[in-house]
Amino acid sequence: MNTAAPVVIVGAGPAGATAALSLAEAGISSVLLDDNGAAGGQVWRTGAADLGPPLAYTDARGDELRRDLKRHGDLIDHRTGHEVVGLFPDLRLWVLEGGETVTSLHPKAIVVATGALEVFAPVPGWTRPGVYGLGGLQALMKTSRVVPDGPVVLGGAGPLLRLVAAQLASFGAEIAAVVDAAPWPSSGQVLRLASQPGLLAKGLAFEWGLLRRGIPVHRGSAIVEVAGDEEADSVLVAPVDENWRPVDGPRRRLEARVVGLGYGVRSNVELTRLAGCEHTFSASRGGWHATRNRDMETTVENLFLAGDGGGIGGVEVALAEGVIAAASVSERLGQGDRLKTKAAKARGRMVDLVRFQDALADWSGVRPGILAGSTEDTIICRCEDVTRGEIAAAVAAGYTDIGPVKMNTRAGMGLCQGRTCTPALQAIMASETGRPLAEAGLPTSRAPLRPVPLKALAQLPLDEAVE
Amino acid sequence: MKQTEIYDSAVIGGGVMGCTTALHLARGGMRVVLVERGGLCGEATGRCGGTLSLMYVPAILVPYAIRGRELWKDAPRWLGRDVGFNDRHGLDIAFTDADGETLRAEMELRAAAGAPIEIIDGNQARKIEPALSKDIVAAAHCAQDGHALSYLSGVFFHRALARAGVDIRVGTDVFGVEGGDRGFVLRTAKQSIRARRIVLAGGVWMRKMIGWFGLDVPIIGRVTQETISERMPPILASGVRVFRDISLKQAANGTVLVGGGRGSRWIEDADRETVELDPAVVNQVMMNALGSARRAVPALAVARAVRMWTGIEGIAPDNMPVIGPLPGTADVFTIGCQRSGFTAGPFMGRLLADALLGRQPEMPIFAPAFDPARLLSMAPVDRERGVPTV
Ligand SMILES: Cc1cc2nc3c(=O)[nH]c(=O)nc-3n(C[C@H](O)[C@@H](O)[C@H](O)COP(=O)(O)OP(=O)(O)OC[C@H]3O[C@@H](n4cnc5c(N)ncnc54)[C@H](O)[C@@H]3O)c2cc1C
Ligand SMILES: Cc1cc2nc3c(=O)[nH]c(=O)nc-3n(C[C@H](O)[C@H](O)[C@H](O)COP(=O)(O)OP(=O)(O)OC[C@H]3O[C@@H](n4cnc5c(N)ncnc54)[C@H](O)[C@@H]3O)c2cc1C
Repeated sequence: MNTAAPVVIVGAGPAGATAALSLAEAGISSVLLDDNGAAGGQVWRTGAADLGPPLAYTDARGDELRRDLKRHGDLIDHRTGHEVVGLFPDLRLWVLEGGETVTSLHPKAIVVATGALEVFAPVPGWTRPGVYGLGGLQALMKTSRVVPDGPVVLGGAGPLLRLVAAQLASFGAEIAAVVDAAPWPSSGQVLRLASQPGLLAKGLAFEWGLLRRGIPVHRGSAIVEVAGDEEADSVLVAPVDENWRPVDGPRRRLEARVVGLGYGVRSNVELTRLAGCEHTFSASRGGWHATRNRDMETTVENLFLAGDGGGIGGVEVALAEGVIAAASVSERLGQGDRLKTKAAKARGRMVDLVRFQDALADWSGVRPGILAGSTEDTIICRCEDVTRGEIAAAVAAGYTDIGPVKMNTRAGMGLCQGRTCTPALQAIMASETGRPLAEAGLPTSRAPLRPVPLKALAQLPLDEAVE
Repeated sequence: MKQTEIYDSAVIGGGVMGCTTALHLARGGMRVVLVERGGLCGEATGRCGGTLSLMYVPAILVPYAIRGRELWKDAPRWLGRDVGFNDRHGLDIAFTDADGETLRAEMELRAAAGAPIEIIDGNQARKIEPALSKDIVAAAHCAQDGHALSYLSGVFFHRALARAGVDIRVGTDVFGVEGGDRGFVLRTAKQSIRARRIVLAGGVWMRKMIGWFGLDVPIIGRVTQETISERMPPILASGVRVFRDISLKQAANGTVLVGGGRGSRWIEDADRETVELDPAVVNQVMMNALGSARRAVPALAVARAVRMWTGIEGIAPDNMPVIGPLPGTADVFTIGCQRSGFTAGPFMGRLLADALLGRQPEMPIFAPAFDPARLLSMAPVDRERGVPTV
């Protein structure tokens, strides 16, 4: 099926849903695609209607957003369970539905709002059963209120670490400890974080939630090993320096049946890479993301990008960028500038938000020592079973670009296409070559992003014959 | 090695052709540097399907392809590694009587050149390969076919080359070559490299390389597209081709690989970025290929594609390889632009190395049919009619 909708928005999180709602305000219809069963994205992820007790530390904006989308159903064609698995520079999309059918859409403009992915840092034993990403643990809790049987140890850095700990604890999970690679924020950092008092207060609330329950937080420390017969039963915690490299000092072994790991988030660049957008590295925005101009347009014409997918900025930035992207699309389609004032306001809000984000990254953003806990035989790519030693050997042999390293080690070439191991691969390359993380480069992504029935691809309707 | 040292040979381009040439030159006692701008075998060689077949090659290349296939089979002996060689039968199938007739005529030429190929009918083909469609009217069957893990060739070659003492310079783009009184100087993004002898092994970039020496040859590029499936239960025992269309096989791990180029375009300048991102070409070629795959093997309807990619081959207007001394400049040689070049590659590289080492090659390598000089007076590829196939 082809659609005549002028605008397709990918991702129904705060950024994408806001873009759709703003466009609707201007009378412009759009197709809003998301692979989840409900809108809300990562932050406002939800499950079935009667989940029971509400999640701690969340607000009602997710429910409002879902109501608003429904209310504008005449203009917003929100398709749940639709995953975009291909995006080409001529703005053609492949959309996978229910894992079975693929349709090709070819709109006039696209807003990519696919958000962020978690950053994993492999340590010895991280592939044992019982080890999860923080986001995975949180998603289970958000969609079905499932809480792991403890003792649980969570390790990593950044706001998500504390949030997940506090949320799990509020549902009765036994959190044995939180292991944070970052130290206490410095007074200067606190001062800058205070530029957004509301956001700082949220952070302090997570902290208080831990303190109140007597959950120990080991700062300036990292989990350097997950041990167990087969399943995880303990973790080894070591002190780290300001670059997150383990240093001499007392090691602590903590009992843990469930281990949650996460070192912050990075932009999901799968689609912008496929589309051939130019990308840039920005340490304060979670690393690599597509470049955009102030109208949120990428280097591919009529391809706009809003939210955490264009550099990590958090919910409030995502909401603002959704508005700005919608205003740009409206103007581009010749639909007038009805969103202009709204967009100007959003731009104003962003200035301060971005300052906050800088301070946040300064305190807890990924450091070059992120992989120092791994050893020669630590598996980095679990799809293809590639170890750190094998990647280091490839670099030593002269392979200093990520593409050739992938080809020669098969790291990142498995089913998940490097979703999990890319940051680790980049960090290893940076440390082995002695170059900054920014020079480790970005791997290519290839369509389809997820397995797609061959049958469906063979029957893709095309808008024009090119044979 | 010091910067001032002069190599006996510099091989530019680290695909199957450059790697094997460098390997055998070094084993023959030369000081060899292999210069590759990306990683070893990151272009056509690492992207190709890895099919080892006699059914695609021009007839006079059949003896070379037979030896190349044997070498892949024999890899533990000369490469020190098993390259995942899979000994299979091959089938090239036709859906129409007209195609069946052309297939017969082409295959008879290859058979006469020594390929163990016979023509069979649809029922016989299905007896050999029960998964094939009922619509097949004729097929060619070859007892020598199979595949190797081409995507790992860079790893395989790297070890062997290092062991043989080849100086491997990956990530080193060569911008040009200058002649000097002390041999040649390769200009690279890093340090310059000196050598007495140059071997150009740039695949589809051969035209550009030959251009460094002031010559223009009508080599042109062609995109082929590959799609790989998830692991599946065994459905295919042989290598299957749909006549002049696609190549299809199942690896030992269960993945099915479909490769094809119908609907592709000729490329004047093989700047891969622009080709890879041309969605019209990629989408159309992929649909053509997957459509044919399903038609040939209906059971593939349930297969799931996990990834697709493209690669570019260099092609001369007469579809023959470009191997031999470059006219006009002594001590410069070319090797490449050979169709189904993965199959014959290891043999071609060995033959060229033998010739450069002053040994008698096992088969002619400086043959008139391969001679780069022939291209100087050759008309460009006719884009409508394409290139001859046998
Ligand atoms: C695992 C995880 C958990 C997080 N939890 C929180 C939290 O609890 N609180 C908080 O403040 N921040 C959280 N964040 C940070 C988050 O990025 C927020 O800042 C916010 O959700 C960003 O909004 P967004 O609209 O840019 O992206 P998102 O909210 O991430 O929305 C993007 C949406 O696009 C969908 N999508 C992605 N790719 C495709 C595709 N190819 N096809 C179709 N749909 C696609 C995603 O499933 C998602 O629904 C989390 C981030 C991650 C990675
Ligand atoms: C998608 C596809 C599928 C194929 N399937 C098969 C198959 O199943 N069976 C088969 O037998 N054949 C197959 N072929 C053909 C086969 O891949 C090629 O014939 C063979 O690999 C060519 O090897 P080569 O060394 O000549 O070229 P390449 O492998 O392309 O190597 C040339 C190298 O030169 C390097 N280079 C270029 N310019 C410079 C420079 N200026 N400086 C330094 N280095 C440079 C490139 O980076 C490249 O690595 C296929 C080809 C493609 C594209």
